[in-house]
Amino acid sequence: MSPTVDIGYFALCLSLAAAAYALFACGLGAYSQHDGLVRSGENAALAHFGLLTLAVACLWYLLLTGNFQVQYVAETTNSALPMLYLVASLWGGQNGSIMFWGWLLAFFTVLILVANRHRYRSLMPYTVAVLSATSCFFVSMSLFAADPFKLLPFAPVDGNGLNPILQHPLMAIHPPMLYSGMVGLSVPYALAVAALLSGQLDSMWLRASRRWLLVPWMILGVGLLLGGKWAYVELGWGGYWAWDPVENASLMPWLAGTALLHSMMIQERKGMLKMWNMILVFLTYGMTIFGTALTRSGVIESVHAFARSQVGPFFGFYLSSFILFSAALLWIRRKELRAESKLEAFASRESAFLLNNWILLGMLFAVLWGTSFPVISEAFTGEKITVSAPFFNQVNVPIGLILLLLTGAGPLFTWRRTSTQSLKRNFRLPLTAMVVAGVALALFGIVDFYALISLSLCVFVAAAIGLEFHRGAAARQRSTGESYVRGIYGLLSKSRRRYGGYLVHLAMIMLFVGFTGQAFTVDREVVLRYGESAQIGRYTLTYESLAYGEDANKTVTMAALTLLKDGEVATTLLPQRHFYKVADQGTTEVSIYSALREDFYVVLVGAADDNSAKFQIYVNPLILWVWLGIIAFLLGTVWCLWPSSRERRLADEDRARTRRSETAPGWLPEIGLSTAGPPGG
Amino acid sequence: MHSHILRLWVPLTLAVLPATASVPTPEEIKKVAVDLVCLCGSCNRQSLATCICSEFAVPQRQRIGQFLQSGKSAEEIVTQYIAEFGVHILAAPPARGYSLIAWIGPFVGLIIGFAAVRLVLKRWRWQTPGAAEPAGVAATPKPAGTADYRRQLEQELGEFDEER
Repeated sequence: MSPTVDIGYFALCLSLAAAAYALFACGLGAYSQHDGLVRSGENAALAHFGLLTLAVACLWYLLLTGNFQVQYVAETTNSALPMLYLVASLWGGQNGSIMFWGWLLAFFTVLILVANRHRYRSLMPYTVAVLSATSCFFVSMSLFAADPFKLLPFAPVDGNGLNPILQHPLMAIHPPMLYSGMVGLSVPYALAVAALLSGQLDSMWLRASRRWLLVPWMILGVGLLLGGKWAYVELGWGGYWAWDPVENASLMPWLAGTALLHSMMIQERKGMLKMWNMILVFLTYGMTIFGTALTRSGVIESVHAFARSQVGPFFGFYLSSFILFSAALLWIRRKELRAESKLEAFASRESAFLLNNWILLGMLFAVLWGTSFPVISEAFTGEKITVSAPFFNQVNVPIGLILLLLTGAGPLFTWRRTSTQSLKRNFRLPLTAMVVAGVALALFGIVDFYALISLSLCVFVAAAIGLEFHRGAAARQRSTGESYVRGIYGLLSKSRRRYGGYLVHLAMIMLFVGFTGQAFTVDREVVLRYGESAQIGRYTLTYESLAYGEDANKTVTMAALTLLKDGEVATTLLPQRHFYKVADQGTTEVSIYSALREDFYVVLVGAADDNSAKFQIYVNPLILWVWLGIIAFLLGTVWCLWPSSRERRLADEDRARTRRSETAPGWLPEIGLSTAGPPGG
Repeated sequence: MHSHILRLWVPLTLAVLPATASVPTPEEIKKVAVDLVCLCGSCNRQSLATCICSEFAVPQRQRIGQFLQSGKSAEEIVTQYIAEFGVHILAAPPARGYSLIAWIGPFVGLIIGFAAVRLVLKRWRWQTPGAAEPAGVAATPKPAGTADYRRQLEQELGEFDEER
């Protein structure tokens, strides 16, 4: 037996003690205004991170060296597994991923502590206490219900291997992204609780949380879509989103976070919705925990699995105490969370934001409802039912279309009130564009009801955003005399939040265009012999040959096909089937020819000895727009996040001021800043 | 190696063999299968129309083809599958009986939500703002009805430039 197991296990135990101490010291220190205690607690949070890092490093070492006596290593890896997947198997199984989750949380705690140790000093003690409480929960679950260092009574010769469908490069980055996004959303929650506990209920906590919300939200969004990309290239059913409970579990906090991102703007500008924003931040965090509980406890498979699973009761306890705690906190502070101003007109940006919240939460509710309905049904009637993609598509398509409409319409309303004339002026062009586009699309033969509405609405939103940019640039041109193009750049760089937000909306249009393409998917199955061709729309597919290969991990069967598009050679497609020896399980490796208009997607279903093979073919229109949409989403959000020159100046001044007035240095190892000598000297 | 190729191939040869008149096309089979899910246990209940697992989906699609060929209607086939595997083979809960709740739920939620938004807006419109906050802040001057759009835009742009 390796000492690494013991070191890892003890580091995990000690990290729990450190987190518990951080919770206690920061909480008590903040309550009694005892600076020394707070600092000690914050140092404990750092120690917690260090110890957990050691535990993670130990597990990584055990995975990489193939110590199969450790149950987790034996269950998730085997000796033939390539390096990349050995590294990724840290989060490939339940017990490892729970510890990894805890590690990410500790990492975020350290991040916020280092980043905000001066700026939002008064919020930090409670923030660290709340994050440490969450850490305590995850680490104790890791220790008592999902021990990754648990030993088998014997040392098997080899492990079971990572589930073959997870053996894909995207799987090495998609789960850590999702986890970072989900875990990161604990930070705004912690800041909100800190504001409630300390009674600093102005908008400071919101300002402090904006980036801590935006970054995890962005990572979660990209992670979701990368998961879709993985499903598209790995699962071989031609689509990217199956409304699987695991997918839904990460979509729900993203939707709640999206609602919060919008409604927090009302509070910043108008001092309204204070209570509501608190509820939303709790909902967002609660959804990350609830989603994890849903997918980790096995409750989806069967209600009875929940009680049997070891982590189930942990989640149940944590979720119920979280709900009680939040509700009590909000109740106590309810009077201090009143709105500072009133609504001046129904036709205003404020109302539009509320409608945005309504539809986003409506969608969240629909997803939550559909995901939990089988559980509820089984619990109450004993009957198992399935709620899968057809349900979610039918329910969410209309909701999504309303959301799209509001994406375009919302920004056309001005703050406070919008006069009828300006409404007319604002809506005239986008509506005209929408109608023209709708008629044109119908004439082009797009008669699918939802698709027609969706694409017309995309034009509406694009026109509305275009109009915003145009008016802004024209106004700048008039007032400053700069050129139109410079004007647009000026808008983008001076009002990063507003116009960056529009960039994200544009990314959403791209995504919706991509989603709409699904309505026109062509699905064909063909059997071809060597040299035979099949005609699918404007494509000609010719089966050329079949090849076999093998490595330590798997055997590979690969077909070669030539694809002609409108009679000209487009590409050679190489769909494969892999067969994983240890898992005794096959996977498909699809081959895709991708263009802006459509994807040509081929799956090798099977091959026979008489030189014939069966192929499943999908022609997926517009799907590339989904992947381009991810990139646009990422760029737009980064644009919003990037500090403006004014903000950088303010931050610099802030920093200079605090450095001058810092009277008691050395409470925290100021990374790279204060290593010059003994503190206080 | 060859054994697994053969395994993949078995359903396929079956598919080719009974090549009599009016053989249902894969598309016709999928039209029925799309209402059902695969119960192989490893694919997370994918649609029976798209799942490619050889343990359940492929042979069952095969069977649906035979049913169709023997003259059964889509409804009859689905009914038989429910009788055989239980109602959870349906991809979505049937829109009748108590599982109608599943379908109505989201829209009831939306309607209640909308009513709540309306109520909140109305209360905001007529209620005086919280007393805790100092006078003056709330008394923001109201724009005189039809303010010139350009001035408003520039003012708004100015405000946005101001805020970080």
